[in-house]
Amino acid sequence: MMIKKNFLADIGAKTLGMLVESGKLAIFVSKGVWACFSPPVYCGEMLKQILHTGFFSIPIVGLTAVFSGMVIALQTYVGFAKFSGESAVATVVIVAITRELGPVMAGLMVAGRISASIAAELGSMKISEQIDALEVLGVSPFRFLVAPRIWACLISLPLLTVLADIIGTFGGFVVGTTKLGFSSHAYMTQTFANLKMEDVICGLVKSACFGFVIAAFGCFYGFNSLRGAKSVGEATTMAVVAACMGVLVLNYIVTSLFFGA
Amino acid sequence: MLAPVEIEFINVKKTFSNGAKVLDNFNLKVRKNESLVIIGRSGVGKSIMLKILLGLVRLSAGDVMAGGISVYDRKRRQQYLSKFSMMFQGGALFDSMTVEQNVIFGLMNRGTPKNEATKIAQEKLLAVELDKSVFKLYPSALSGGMQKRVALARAIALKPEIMLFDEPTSGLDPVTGATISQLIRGMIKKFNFSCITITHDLSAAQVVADRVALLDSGKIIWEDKVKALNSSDNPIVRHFMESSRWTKGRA
Ligand SMILES: Nc1ncnc2c1ncn2[C@@H]1O[C@H](COP(=O)(O)OP(=O)(O)OP(=O)(O)O)[C@@H](O)[C@H]1O
Ligand SMILES: [Mg+2]
Repeated sequence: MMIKKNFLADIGAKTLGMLVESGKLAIFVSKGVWACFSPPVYCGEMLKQILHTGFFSIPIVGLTAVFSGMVIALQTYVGFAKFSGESAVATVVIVAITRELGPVMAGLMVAGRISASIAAELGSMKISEQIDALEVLGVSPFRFLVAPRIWACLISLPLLTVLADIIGTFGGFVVGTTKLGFSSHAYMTQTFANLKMEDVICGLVKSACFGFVIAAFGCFYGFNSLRGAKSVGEATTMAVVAACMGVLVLNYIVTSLFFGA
Repeated sequence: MLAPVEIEFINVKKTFSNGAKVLDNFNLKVRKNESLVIIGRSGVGKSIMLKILLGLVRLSAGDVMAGGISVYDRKRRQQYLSKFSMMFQGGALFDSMTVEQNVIFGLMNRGTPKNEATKIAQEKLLAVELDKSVFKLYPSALSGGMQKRVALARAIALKPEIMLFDEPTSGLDPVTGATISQLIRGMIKKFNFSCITITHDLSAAQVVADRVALLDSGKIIWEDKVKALNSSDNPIVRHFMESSRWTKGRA
């Protein structure tokens, strides 16, 4: 009986804790969004963040995209050969990349790389009282730290997604023409015939949403670090987990809004 | 005649969510142009008290007023904060900026144009005995004591109405420490700000303070003119004085 009681109390406490956390997140996010649209804008900070988030993520996003493109070409060929559908490789590659693999791979890679770095950086600023110092100087930490990071992710992710789309398609093209025996002309014709604007746009919308959750979770957990290095470590882990989950959940939601019946 | 009250803590209570009771019915007044030094054992809540004054830590009950504005007044928050300049215990230097930029950033955010800010920054950094060669370094490349002095330069560059120093001389060698306390005293005389300094360094307290207050178990349990420190019969004050004499004697 005792155990049962404690068990129920635990569930209750956890649920309440989650509700409180969601409330805090909602308040934090609305403050962040407000900061994005109210002056002053710290352009220098924003450029730094765009460079850090966008430019320096190019190698890792490019690499994941090229291998995803290559493997999807290979798998499609092998799988579709069972019912003589091998000729559809280029179609499958372009649709899969523009709709899903490009934005999701870019999103997950940036979620790992950037939400961790945001949470760790802001967390250590928080515990070393730098965020307090900003406030005393009359600088809003939301405008100076959160807004530039949200903008940087919102701008960088769609650009990285376009890049992932191109590089991923190229990966498929390389495997298709060198290993699977397609002529490059035929492969390209089929690719462009199946390249749909609405797929690309859906991918870009998705990636902008991903960018937003990545920055939001990174900043939220960084700002909520308590004291000591351990809590910064925990904040970083939480930020990465939350950002990756956020990417996957939003991916489903946006997809169902675009293509759902 | 007594100067008007600049800072006032009224029945302030602070309890953390983990149940730790730090301040309990804490009352304190600092008058205009007065320099108050607060002493107290480690962990009694001295730093928390300053953060409460700045509105960085929320109070559980009571009120804090500075220059006639309440810390609760969110509408006049910017005006409230612009009265202050604070030197944090750990320095709190922005590690994405160089030493010089740290000082300039503070000045520019309080409305000083860039050229002038650069000039003032260099002047203040030299005043805290930092060498020109470190101006372009990042804080991570400095020793703890040097970081402390940069933080001090950043704080005193602003010329606010109220100055807060959290342990300005801890971690410094005695010679630099003495220079820093003289510097603070000089600034107080010259610019007439009200000042709260937290320190364990009683020789610094003697130089900086007009008045000394002792914080213990959540309250100010003793306060008097700095001269009264030596003759006080409060046991905790005596304990403080004796320990510091002992350390000095040994050194
Ligand atoms: N976020 C927090 N949660 C719980 N307890 C806290 C928190 N911040 C501070 N405390 C507690 O409040 C007390 C006062 O802390 P504070 O930093 O003000 O001490 P201090 O008087 O400045 O000490 P020192 O001289 O060592 O700097 C400490 O006992 C500390 O454990
Ligand atoms: Mg302290």
